[in-house]
Amino acid sequence: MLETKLSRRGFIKASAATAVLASAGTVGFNEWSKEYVKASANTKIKEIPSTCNACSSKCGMVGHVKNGRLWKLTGHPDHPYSKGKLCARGHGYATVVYSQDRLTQPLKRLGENKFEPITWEQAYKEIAGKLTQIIKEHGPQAVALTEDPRASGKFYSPRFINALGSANYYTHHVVCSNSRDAGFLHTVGVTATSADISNAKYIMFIGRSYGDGIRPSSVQSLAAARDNGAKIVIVDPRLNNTANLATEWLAIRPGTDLALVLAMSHVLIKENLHDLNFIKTYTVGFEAYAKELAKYTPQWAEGITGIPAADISRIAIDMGKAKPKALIEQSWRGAFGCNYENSTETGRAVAMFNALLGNYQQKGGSIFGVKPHLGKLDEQKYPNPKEPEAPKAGKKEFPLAYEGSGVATIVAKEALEGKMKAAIYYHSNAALGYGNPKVMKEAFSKLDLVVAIDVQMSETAQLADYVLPEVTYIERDEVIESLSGKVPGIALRQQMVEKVHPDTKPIHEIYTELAKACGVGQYFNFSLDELNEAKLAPTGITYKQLKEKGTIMFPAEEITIGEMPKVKTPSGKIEFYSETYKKAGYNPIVEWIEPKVSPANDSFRLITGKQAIHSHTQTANLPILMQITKDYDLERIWINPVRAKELGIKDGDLVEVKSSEATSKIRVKVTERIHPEAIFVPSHYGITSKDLRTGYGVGFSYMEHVPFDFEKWSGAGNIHEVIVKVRKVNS
Amino acid sequence: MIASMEKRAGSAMIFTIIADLFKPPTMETWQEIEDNQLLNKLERMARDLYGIEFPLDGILPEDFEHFCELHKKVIGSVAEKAVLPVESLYKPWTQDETCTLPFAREKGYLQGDPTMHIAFLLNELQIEIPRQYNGIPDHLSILLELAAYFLEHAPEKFSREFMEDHLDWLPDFKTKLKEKSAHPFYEGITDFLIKVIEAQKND
Repeated sequence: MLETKLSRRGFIKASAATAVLASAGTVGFNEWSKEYVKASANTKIKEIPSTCNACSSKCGMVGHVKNGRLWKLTGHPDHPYSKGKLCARGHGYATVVYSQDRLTQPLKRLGENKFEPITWEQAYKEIAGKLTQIIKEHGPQAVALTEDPRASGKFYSPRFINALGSANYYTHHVVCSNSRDAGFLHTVGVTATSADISNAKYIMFIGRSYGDGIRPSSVQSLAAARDNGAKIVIVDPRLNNTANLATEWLAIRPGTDLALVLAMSHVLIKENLHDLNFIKTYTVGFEAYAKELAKYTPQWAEGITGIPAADISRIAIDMGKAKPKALIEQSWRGAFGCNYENSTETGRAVAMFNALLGNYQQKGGSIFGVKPHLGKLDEQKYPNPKEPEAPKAGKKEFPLAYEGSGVATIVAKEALEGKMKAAIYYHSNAALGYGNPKVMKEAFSKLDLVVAIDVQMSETAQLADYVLPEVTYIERDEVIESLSGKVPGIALRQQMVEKVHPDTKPIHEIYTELAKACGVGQYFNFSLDELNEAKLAPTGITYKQLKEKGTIMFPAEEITIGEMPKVKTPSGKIEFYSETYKKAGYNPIVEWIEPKVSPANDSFRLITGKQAIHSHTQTANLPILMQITKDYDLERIWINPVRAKELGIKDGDLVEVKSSEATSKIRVKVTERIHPEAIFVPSHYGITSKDLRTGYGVGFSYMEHVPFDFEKWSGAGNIHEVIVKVRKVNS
Repeated sequence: MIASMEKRAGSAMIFTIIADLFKPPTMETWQEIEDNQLLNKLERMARDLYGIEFPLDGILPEDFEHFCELHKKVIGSVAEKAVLPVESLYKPWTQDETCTLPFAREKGYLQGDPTMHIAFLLNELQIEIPRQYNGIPDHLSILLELAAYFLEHAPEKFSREFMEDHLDWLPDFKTKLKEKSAHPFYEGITDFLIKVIEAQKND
């Protein structure tokens, strides 16, 4: 017999009774499986209401759990975004819970692409030690935290960084909606309104596509509007997937949406189709704006946008006649979230155009939503961190940016300048998605500490000194989500299944434990349940009730159509003229701003956008969704046939895309659905982390071509200010 | 001919030792391999028990550090794109036709039906496993230790069925290891294991 100590090192611990049981026999897999399937018919299915995490909408969903495993997903019928439906990516993203590419243990960097697993205790101790040292040497303003916020993150992340004494809390909006947010904020007092789409008679989308950035209820509303005979105009250099529901496509020259909106505003006033009553009652600065608009004629705009003056006039007049059931949808990233040097001013002009139509708080118009009235933790018992002394980095440079989001890429800029020393990224792939990846990588290399908290080994995690593994959204409870809208409500993300990997943790636990290690645990002396109970207190709803229902709306608090709320601008009115702008050194009135760069005859502007099956780059590693990409060649760039012919390029050809920043190879889709001056590249591909086996090597990342830049007003990423040349190449 | 009881114990020991080789390495394991000629002994035992010849020459890692590195890179760490030795990954996720999840019939996902069955067995037999394997009880190390346990303590039909049911995915695992092609150690051990299982089934 073999003699070895290893036979005593067994994992399994069998009880004395086991041998007897085993001898008595039990079922084999096939028999068990048959029994399992048969018994399944009678197995009790637990239905756990929760929220999706496949995109920022966080639609309500119900997880059907059988024998402890996920078995089915359905849209939550009461949630205002899902209304009983889930989109493809919502179904697909859930696979992440059982993915083999998940992070399972805390990791510490040993060198280039080398990590070793460590315990949570070691991770906390070392991260806390480094943070404390950095704060001691450079002050708390040298530490930053960035996230793509979800309900728990929204509460815990700023609290954590504030507890360290730093105001440097940032969100992904720098490449999402920073420009729109700033433009709207300084015009209508909120970063975004919503829209009463189903009751609208005339809807214009500028770059925004309900068919690609799917929220099921939005698509339902648009379909209802279409059924009601609404005119639906898509303004986009690309005929996006809302086309099925649209009545007209304006293939605008990219970067010129501001000119279109200014000219339409000009027409409204010239044709006396603006709502003077609304303007007199609820706005300031109209006369100054009207004076500025005089020069922005449709003929002027035709030369800039490429849209015939007659069409500009026709649409503006029709919208004026349809008011107040006419609107330009507020968008998200769309064409003016963060794309061009003029995006903030486009956002501002859009908010003003809706004011000219007098559509605010009107049926079929723009809506100021209301938030639910939720409670807070008792400050006596659970003290809040002190207000940080130093202002948020980037505030000085970009005073117009919405402070709640900040300018996340300022962290990289200050790292390169040697001012920022530590950065924490939670649920955020900033290294690939927020700025030029080469610049981001260099910036990360200058930092003394980078911590990434994620479920998968993203490009950001690859560059981190420490990687902390979070449980997936299927395996965690979260803070109550506040739903703002015509009817306010609340939603709760809940744990559906036991965590697959025992050494992963939910974010509220990670922050609480890390805070303790950093010596600021006194600001996290409550449980998640205590926090949620405190939030619920004023609503009269019990935690148990919310857990059972998942989503609860408050119809008694519905907005009253026709009743304008107090506008949260300094003047208390919608501002055509902004004193805030003036004080900050910007033009208080919107004027035409040229895009930063323009293509020549032999080049293109590189533009990007969403596809319905993916979300940012977070879904690129999911086989079930990536297979759709592969089946339909969705990673290809789009080129107009006229330009393709000039370059000798045929559909499916391999081409080289070259910018000032990078060179990529990709196959092309030749289509008339793209403006001749633009190349469209979907924004979900170009994964460079080899740990993400499914996503790696498919397509290219448009961010590689985007120069690291800040839009002058909001600090947004100017992600469409990119010129590329394209040529056919052999493989 | 080795007496039946002793043969069962010997077979169980082979499975136990191989189970150990798929766990995160310890110095104790390494010393057994290096100082105690463990692989040679395994070869010899397989020959004595099953009459199979399968040399395990030239597959040893250079040293303990290399062994740890290999484990991490080849079968242990997601961060290293490792080929995880977990049964569910190599089989359709579930046979439950009522399951409407988009990946229900796909391979490559954790906590498939094999996980459920192993969890069921562990529960029925009141067997405990380390906490970090709770979500992946169908990890090869657990499966091999269970196989060893059944070989020694359960009726033959039971252990045969167990191996047919839960160790039939190893050729697919070996293919993936080959694609990874980092070092012959785990490939060699897997090949050896496949031969042993085959012999055990034919025995």
